[in-house]
Amino acid sequence: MTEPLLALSSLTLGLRMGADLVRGLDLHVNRGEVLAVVGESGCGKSMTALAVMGLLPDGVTRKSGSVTLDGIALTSLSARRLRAIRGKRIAMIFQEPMTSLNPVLTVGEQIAEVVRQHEGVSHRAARARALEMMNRVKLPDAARRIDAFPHQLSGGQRQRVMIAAALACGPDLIIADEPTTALDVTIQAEVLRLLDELRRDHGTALMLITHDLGVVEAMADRVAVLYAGVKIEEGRVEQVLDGPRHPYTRMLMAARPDADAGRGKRLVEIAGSVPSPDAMPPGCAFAPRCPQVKPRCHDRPPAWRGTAEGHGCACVLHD
Amino acid sequence: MPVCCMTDRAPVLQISDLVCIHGSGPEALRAVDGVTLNVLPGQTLGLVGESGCGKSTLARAVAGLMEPSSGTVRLDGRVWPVARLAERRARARQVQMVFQDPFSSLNPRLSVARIVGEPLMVHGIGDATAQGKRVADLLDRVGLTAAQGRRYPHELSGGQRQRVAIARALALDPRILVCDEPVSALDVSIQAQVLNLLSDLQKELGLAYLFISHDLSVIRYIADRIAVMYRGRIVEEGASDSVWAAPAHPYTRTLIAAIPGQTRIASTARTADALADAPAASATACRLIDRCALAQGPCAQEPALMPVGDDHSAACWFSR
Repeated sequence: MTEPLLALSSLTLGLRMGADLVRGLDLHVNRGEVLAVVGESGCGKSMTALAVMGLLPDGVTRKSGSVTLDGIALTSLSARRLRAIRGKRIAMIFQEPMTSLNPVLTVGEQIAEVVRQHEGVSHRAARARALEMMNRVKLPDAARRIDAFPHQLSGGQRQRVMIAAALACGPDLIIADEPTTALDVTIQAEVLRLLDELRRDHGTALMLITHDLGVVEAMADRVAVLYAGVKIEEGRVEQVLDGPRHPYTRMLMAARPDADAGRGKRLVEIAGSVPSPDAMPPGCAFAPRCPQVKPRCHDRPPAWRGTAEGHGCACVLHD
Repeated sequence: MPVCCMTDRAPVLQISDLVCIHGSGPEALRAVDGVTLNVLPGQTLGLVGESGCGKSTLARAVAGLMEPSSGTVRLDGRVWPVARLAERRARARQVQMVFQDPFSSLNPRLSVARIVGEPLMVHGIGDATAQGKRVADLLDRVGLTAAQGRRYPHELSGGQRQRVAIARALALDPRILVCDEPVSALDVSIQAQVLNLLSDLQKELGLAYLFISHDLSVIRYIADRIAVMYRGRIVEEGASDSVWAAPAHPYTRTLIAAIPGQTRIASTARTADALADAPAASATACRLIDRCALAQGPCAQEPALMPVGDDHSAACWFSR
C-alpha cells in the first residue's frame, strides 16, 4: 500500500485552555483522490482544513496529533518552512471569494504574487503564468480580465480567480472549503466541473469540505462524515451513500429534500441540535439525538470499526 | 398569461403585471418586469431563480415593504396602497414575511415572547392577558417551550430562531406567508425541521405560501406550483409535478441539470459566465438569448408565457 499524500493522525484541536473542537481525527487523502469531508456547522470541518494549512485562528490551537504531507510533518515545521509549502504544495480555496481576494490588487497581481513568492521569477514571467492560469480555469477574456479588480468580476469569475491562484504553482493537494456554497446553482455546476477537470488533467488531489451530499455524490471518491468534532463514518462514496452505517449519516441523507422522492413526503428530522463544544456528552456525541440510542452509548465514545473494504464507522450498533 | 386553476376558490394573492424599478434614469433596473402570478388559499407557490433575478424584490412588493412601480398586488381581492398607514396595517393581517437570516431579522434586545407578541401590541389586539395567552399558543405551535420564550435570540440556535420568526409571522393570523429563502441559512437536519413545520402549519391553518428559494430540490419538495424567474420575468410556471417531470423552458432544464449529484437532463445552456461577456442583447429579445444553446431567429423577439400543457406554461419559442 502506497503512502497517502496527506495524513492527519489523532488530530485534536481546541481553544487554548478550553473546549476541544476536533477530537482525535484520523484522515488521509491519497494522490489524485477527492476526499469529501461532510458535516453540519460546528462539526470541525473548517478548523480541520485550517489546521492542515497552518492557518488556525487566534485562540485555537493544536493540542495533539500530527499532519503529514508526503512524509513531511507539517505540524513540526517552522513558520518559514511551512510558508514555503503552503501555496506551493498545498493550496486552499475559500468559500467566499469576495472576502478572500484582496480588493485593492488586480486579480493578475494576486495570482502572480503566489508564483513570485514561491519561484522567485521575474514580474513579467509571473504575469505570464497568471495569464496562463486564468486561461486554464477558463476565465473568459483573460487577457483583459488580468487587470481587473475583484469587484469587477462576478462571483463565479472570482471563484475561478481563486482556483487559478491555488493552481499557480502546481500543488499536489487543494483544500476547498465550501467552494461553491456562495454561488448560484448553474455557476456551482461549472465550478465543480472545472475542479473535476483539473484533477483529471493534472492529478491534483482534492480535500473537499462541504455540507452538501449532492456535491459529494458528484465529485468525491471517498467521504468522511464528521459530527461534533469526531469522525463518525468514512468510506468510498458509493459505500457510504448507498449503505450508510451510522445513524447520523442515515438521518442526514433522509433529512435532505430529495428532488426525486416526490413532494410532501415528510422529511426525517434530527431532533435537537449539535452539542456545544464545552458541553460535550461523555459518550457518543450523537447519543442525545440518536433514535437508536442504547444505554451504553452514554458511557464512553464508541470505538472505530472498519471493514476490509475501507468502510468504517464509530457506532455501537456495529460493534 | 399563466393558466388559472380550474377551481372555484378565489386566489388569496393575485399579482398582475407587476413592475418594480430600482433607481431611475439610465441606471434604472427593472428588477421585476411584468410578473403575473396567483396563489390559491392553502397552496404553496414555489418561486425559484438565481441571485439577481428579482425574486426578493417581488417578495418585498407582495409583503408591502415597497410600492411597485406599476401593476398590482391584490390580497383577498383588493389592492392595499403602501403609502397609507391604515391600509398597511390591514394588509399586514393578510400577509406576513419570514426572512432568510434569522440572526438579523429578530431584534436582539427583545425576548422571544416579546418578539412574537409585538405584532399583537402594534395592532392593539386583545389585552395583556389575551396577548400572553396567544403568544404561549404560538410558541407551542412552532415547537418552542415557554422557557425558550423568556430567552433572547442570541441564546437560540438558527433553527429555533427561524421558529421564532415563523411564530411572529403567524401572530396576526395572516392568510399567506411570504418566505424568502427561509431555510437557506440552516443546516440540513434543521432545514428538515423547519420544512416539516411549515407543511404542518399549512395543513392546520390553511395557510398559503409564496416560497422563494434558489434551491430547486427544496422548491420541488414544498411547492404545489413552481414559477421560475429569470431577469425579472417568469419564464415557466405550472403544477410542480409537470414542471419537474417535463420542464419546458431551457433555463428550467439548466437549473434542474445543475443540481449536483443528478444528471437526468443534459444542459442546453451555455456557460453562465459567458453571460457577463455577451454584448447587451436588444431590449426586445428573449432575455436568455446570450445564454441559450437553442437561440435562433425568433428569439430576437421576447416570447410571452404560452401554454405548453395542462396548467403549465413557458416563455420559449421552442417549448412546444
